[in-house]
Amino acid sequence: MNGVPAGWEVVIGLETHAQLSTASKIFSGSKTTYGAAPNTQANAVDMALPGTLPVLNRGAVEAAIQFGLAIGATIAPRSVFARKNYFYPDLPKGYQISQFELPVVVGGTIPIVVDGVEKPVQLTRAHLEEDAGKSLHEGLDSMGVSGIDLNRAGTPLLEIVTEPVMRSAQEAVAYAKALHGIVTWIGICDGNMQEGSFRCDANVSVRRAGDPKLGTRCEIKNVNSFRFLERAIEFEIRRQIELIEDGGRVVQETRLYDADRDETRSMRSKEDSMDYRYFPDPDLLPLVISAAQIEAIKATMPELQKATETRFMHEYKLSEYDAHVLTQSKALANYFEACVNEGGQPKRVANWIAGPLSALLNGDDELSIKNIHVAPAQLAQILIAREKELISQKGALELFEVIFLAEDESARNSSVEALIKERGLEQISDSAAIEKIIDEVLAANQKSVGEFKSGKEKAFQSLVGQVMKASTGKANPAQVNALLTAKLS
Amino acid sequence: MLLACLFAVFNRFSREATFFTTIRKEFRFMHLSLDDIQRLSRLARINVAPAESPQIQNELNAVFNLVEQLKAVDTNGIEPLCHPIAAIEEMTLRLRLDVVTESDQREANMGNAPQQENGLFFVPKVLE
Repeated sequence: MNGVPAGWEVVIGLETHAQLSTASKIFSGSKTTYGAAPNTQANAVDMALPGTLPVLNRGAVEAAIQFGLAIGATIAPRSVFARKNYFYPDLPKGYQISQFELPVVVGGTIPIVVDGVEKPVQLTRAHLEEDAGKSLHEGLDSMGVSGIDLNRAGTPLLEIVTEPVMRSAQEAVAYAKALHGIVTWIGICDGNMQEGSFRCDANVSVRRAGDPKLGTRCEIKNVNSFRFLERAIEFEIRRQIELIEDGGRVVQETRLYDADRDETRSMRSKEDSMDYRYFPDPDLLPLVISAAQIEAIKATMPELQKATETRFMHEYKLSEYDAHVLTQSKALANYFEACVNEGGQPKRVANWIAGPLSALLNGDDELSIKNIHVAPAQLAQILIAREKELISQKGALELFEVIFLAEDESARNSSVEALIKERGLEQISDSAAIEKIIDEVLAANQKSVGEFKSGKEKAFQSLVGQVMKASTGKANPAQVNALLTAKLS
Repeated sequence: MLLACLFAVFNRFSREATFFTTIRKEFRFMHLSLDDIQRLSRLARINVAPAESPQIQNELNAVFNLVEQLKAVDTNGIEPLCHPIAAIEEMTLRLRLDVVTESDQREANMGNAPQQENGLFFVPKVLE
């Protein structure tokens, strides 16, 4: 069940703006750092002061080429920048430099999987453009003004457009996640949706099943999480179907998603305002990309997500599931491989990452694999100590948490060996030592021994508990079990 | 601004046509109505009083007559020339390295702003 009512078909296309992780802006040498004080990162070009001219950032072009290569698209040997004309105070030039007729990336495919079924999502194009500034209204109402911050103006964006091939909100979200995975994997975008580095607009229309003609579409904007994307599309599908069933007609318009009320509402109609009067920007010559340049970038591209997943399965003998989990991000995959290179057994490392590490990361959104304190060598040492039965599973977890949660540098950098000693986590695996403890416990607990011999299974667990207690939790539980069984039989 | 106006009209008369085919094939007949003038003035944010409309209509139609003369030339097989300089000498777009070359110039940049506060330009309230 994909949430689409019987008798109806849903058609969805997505337009995604991925902010490129360049140091400087697309047409100027201003910084692109997020969150700076207003207008401290906007120079004369970004502010469109008279006499300024745009000069294209090579880094932005290379990012576009990398993206095209990652999705099997055609890199246009010649593409053209165009002016998209509209008036808004946060757009100082009165036009946005974008690409129209001839975008830099053409075609390409991103596979998605929904309910176990794989489906290719075809891309129409991806083009380079500049972002606008920000208009701020909060707290300024009474003054009758809006505040303008142009720090974001001129930030490089790659707008990635799909064909209208998705048929449910779930497919749209699967695509958005897959795309997010690709751009962050190849490192051209940080993917931070809260900060607006990855923004999705969805074009949604509905039609009666079997109708060859597309319905009128609405564009949903202002969706800053995958969950909201799904809910916004689902709301919009319901709205359009109800409207048509009640004899109404869908009007082509832009709608904003309001997360608080979980609904979309009309923002502006496309009737008049959307005539952008595109034309080639005379300030910028055509962008020419040679085959040699594409080859050079291809050579520096990281191994792609899918390829890494397959390699993990073969090289480290991991299950498809494990390999998939470990390749959710480049940082995670790198962390896994670093741990393995430090001597961690691949399956153990994989289990640890999927288990205790993920559990700790999920507890706190601020943390991510990128800034976790546990060095790959430390995790490898913990796992090696565990493998050699030098520590118990509980002890391994404790060690990992201690390093993970350490506030100060010295605790973070301590060697695992030293920490085991310091925290008294050495596991007793010496049979003679354990036997000695068992003998003492048996002597002191004759009542339990008697109960066990008369058939009370519970008494055995009680004795195990006593042995563990007597060893202050350090005895190897498996050995305790085995030795105790032998003694009592 | 004139460019933007011209292209507004181009687009109006060839919604489906692409830009390049627009300038090649359309305009066998071009006459702007007074409604077109009003629409253009809205798009260009230039207030045109109804009394001025007929004059502007005439002037713009004169421009389009010029365009029509250009259109009469057979340009089949000729690449659109959007960047005349590229026809004079072999030139492609120059790229710059991705490095930050600008420092904070807020004070200087905002020196002429008629209204500002806390580093923000103030503009008449934007209604959405």
